[in-house]
Amino acid sequence: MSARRGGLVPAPAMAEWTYKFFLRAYSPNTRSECCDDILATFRDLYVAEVYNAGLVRKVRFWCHTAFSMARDGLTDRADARRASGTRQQRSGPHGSGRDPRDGRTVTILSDLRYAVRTLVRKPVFALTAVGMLALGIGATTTIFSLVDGVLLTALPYPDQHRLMFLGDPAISIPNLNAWRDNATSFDEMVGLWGRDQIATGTGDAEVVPTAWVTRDFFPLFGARPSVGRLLTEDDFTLTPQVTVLSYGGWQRIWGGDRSAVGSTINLDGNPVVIVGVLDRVFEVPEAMTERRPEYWLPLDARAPSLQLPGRLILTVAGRLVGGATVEQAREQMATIAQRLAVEMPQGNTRRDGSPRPIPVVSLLDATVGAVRGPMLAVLGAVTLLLLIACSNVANLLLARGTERERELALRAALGASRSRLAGQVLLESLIIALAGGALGALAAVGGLDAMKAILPSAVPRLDTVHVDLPVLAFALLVSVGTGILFGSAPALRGMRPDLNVALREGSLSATGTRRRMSLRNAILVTEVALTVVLLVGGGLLFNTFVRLMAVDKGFDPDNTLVARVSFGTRPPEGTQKALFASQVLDRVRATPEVRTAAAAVLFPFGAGREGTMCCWAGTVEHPETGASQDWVIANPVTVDYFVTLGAELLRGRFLSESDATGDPLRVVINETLARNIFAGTDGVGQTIRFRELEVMVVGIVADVANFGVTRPGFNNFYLLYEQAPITSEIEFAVRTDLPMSVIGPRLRSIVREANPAYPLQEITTMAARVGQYRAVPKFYTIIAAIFALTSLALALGGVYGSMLYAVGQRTREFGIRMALGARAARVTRMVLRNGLAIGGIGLAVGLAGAVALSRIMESVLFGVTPTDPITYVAVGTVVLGAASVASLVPALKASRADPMTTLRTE
Amino acid sequence: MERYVAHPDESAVESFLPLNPNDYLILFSLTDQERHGYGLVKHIGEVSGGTVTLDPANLHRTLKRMVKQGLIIDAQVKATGETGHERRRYYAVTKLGRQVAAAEATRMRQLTRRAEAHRLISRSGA
Repeated sequence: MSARRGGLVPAPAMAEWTYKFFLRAYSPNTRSECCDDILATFRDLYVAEVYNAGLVRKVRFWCHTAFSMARDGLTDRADARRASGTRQQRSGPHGSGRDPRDGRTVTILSDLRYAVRTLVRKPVFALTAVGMLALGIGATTTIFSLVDGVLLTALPYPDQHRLMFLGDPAISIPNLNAWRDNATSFDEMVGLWGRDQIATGTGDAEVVPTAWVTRDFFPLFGARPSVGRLLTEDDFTLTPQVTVLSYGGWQRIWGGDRSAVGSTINLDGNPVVIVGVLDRVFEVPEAMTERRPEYWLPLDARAPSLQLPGRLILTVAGRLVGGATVEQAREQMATIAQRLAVEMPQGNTRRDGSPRPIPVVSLLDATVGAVRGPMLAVLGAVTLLLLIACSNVANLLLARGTERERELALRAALGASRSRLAGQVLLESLIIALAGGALGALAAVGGLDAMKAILPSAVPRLDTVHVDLPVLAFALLVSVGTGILFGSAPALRGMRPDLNVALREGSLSATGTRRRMSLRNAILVTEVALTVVLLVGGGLLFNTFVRLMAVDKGFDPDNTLVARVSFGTRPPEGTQKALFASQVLDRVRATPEVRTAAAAVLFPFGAGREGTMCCWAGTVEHPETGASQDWVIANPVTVDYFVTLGAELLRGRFLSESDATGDPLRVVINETLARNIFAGTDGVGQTIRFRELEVMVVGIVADVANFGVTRPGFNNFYLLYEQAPITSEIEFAVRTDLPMSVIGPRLRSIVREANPAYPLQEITTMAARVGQYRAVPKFYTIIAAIFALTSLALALGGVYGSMLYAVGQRTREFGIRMALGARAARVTRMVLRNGLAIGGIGLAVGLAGAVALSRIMESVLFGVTPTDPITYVAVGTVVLGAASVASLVPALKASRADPMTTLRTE
Repeated sequence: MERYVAHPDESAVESFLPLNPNDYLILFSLTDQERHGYGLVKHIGEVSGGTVTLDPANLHRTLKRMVKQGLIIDAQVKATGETGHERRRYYAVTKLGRQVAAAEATRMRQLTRRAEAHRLISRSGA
């Protein structure tokens, strides 16, 4: 062993021990001949490449090692068997060709047969144990395959560990150039500009996601063409002449037709030639764009006309110079940030004038950082579930161990060695664990599909998630680990059977039982405690979900259809846009069954998509009191906006047609802005200043949750769209009793009639938009509820089974007690008290654990604190209630013990 | 099997072909110098561009077999490590091993040329 390495934890020694364990897969021959060489090589390899590596690398290394050793070990054993078969033949029928080690193999085989027979004799026990483990291992494997695919699998790019994501979401083109010129710790830096463009020339005009990328983008990510070519140096002209299709786009738009390459299409009216199609396996770097671009265009970052420091449009990735560390890169970027804040303040300073920092994080972190915490929390939860299943099986085995004590004692008396008896018990546990693991792995394949179906679409990298070899290796490891975990206690018991006591006829020793009882009670307490942790987590998430549902959104999402129209990157004059909007609305209103319809730059829950201008924000001031608010969001709307949404008017009036010509501008403000600017006084009729504009407040409405319910409290005001037709997009909402399948196409044809160049997109209902915001909390709640309820059922079953068993064991004792005058009620109370004590202690331990772990939950909670007392009290009540229910039946059974039967046998 | 060591003739070389890729990589790695176990793992990893990672147990199993086949010999045991207490077995390629590796390389070259002739791969090797 490598004791020569210092340090508190001799990790290589641990690793070597583990490796030696895996080595048992190989034939005894190989092991005896090469063991030292193998271990020396392993030591070199581990110390040089794995010991100081990160957790991810370690996990992958061990999964790979476990898998390849199992595979090669089997081959080796098969070879050895073939070789020994030849040897035996050579030495003839009378020769002793048998290897001396074979005796051990025979022992193991006979133990194996014995163990299987023992289990088959007790099918209920075996099936219960296997079932519980399958549940635990299946759930754990499902979640692990998610974690493996999303968090642990390396990104599919060359030198991916050197790829970094730079900057606060988006930066300007001049910034990218300045960074490239100065950041010597990066040998490559590329930018991506994701946008929506209108494509024509392939049927109906439609909005397609496009990505404009700088020169080295494709080489950096190792992209290859599937057909044609990718971008070359000559393609980077001021107005792009060429484009590369994504594989998905090629399939969707062109049906995979090769003649797509060479065709010309129009993007926002610019003709571009398709020169190639990306390879199918190319994975869009999700940190750089949330969408799936269908057309990729060259962006010449050096073009003089693009040097606009105020347009924060690019996301940037860079590759570290070989040998440079992330810390060095961070320091260098901090220096660059300082300098740029002075040289090019626009886009490089924060609102208080300080330099805008340039975060540098690995591309993997940038891609999956947001889901890492929640995913690990879910993995933690499922591990608890597995532990509960394990303790249940351990308890079952211990209970059975009592019954088997005589058998084991007999075998010991007949000369079986202690290690052999312990091995026998452990072997049984391993068989149960492996059977459970195999079933669990099967369940994981199904479970993963179910899981993917309810996963929110915001989870990145779902394409890389499947049950593969590392995942199966993980399931195998977990099975063996759990087998050893729950088998060790009974195995240790098997090692020291008390021959004297156990062999005495009819003996049910009081002391032996008590010792065993205390161990089993400890396991039950652990089980209850783990369940409490899961219940608290589930309770908190459920609370969050209920609160999210109950939040007053300030509008009525039912029976409303919303859709977006894009005017493209070269939008028409403002008056044209306003005219277009009113034409569309007039025709929609002419449809029978349409109650109201409105247009606005922003309808609730529609903002925040990357690359779209969400809103028009600025500072509002009260000219007299001097009260001011930054980041007030102005929303240009048409007259019926409030009625269509069902927003509540608090004071004054809504906007009307006549306000279009009013001077100063007439506006309606929301409650938050009224409170912040007018501080209690009635604002209606007063004049305030927005940027350079004088505006008059004509009404105050209740807050509308424009940006989702978890981000309340935005300052908002509304003015007529005709007076500020600002953005390149507009949304329409229609309140109607017609089903969406009718009104959707109707709206589409109305928009096409009004102007065929402006495609309608993202047609959906208001309710669906709201639902999408709830998808993530809903997912966590479902998962947590499943875990919490499963674990409650497991723990309940554990307590019930264990109490019932204990009562069965003590029937004689109860009988004697009652013969001596104890009342039935007293016996019932005794058993109940026992059950409640387990529940109570488990509850206390579990609550303490839940408080300790509550910080993990913080990021996914809304409206509840991680130590919400109501949740804790509710969990306590449920657990104690469940514990008494679970011990009631055994208690009643105990009280029915017949003193006469007992005394007769005594 | 010992006859291969005694009479490395052409038919003996031929009988090893086609060579198992791992065997070839081991022989190839030993052509320029003697190496120990981890030295082989590392060199093979580099030569194969990281696509082949040999597990120590499987490596030594293979080495043991190749020694028996007469393709390599365990040349010497050297002391390594800071204190010199660690011992490592070094392997070297035999004459037969070298011939077999060369024959395998020739075989692969012929395959490559055929692939080029059928335009499966371009002549530049891209």
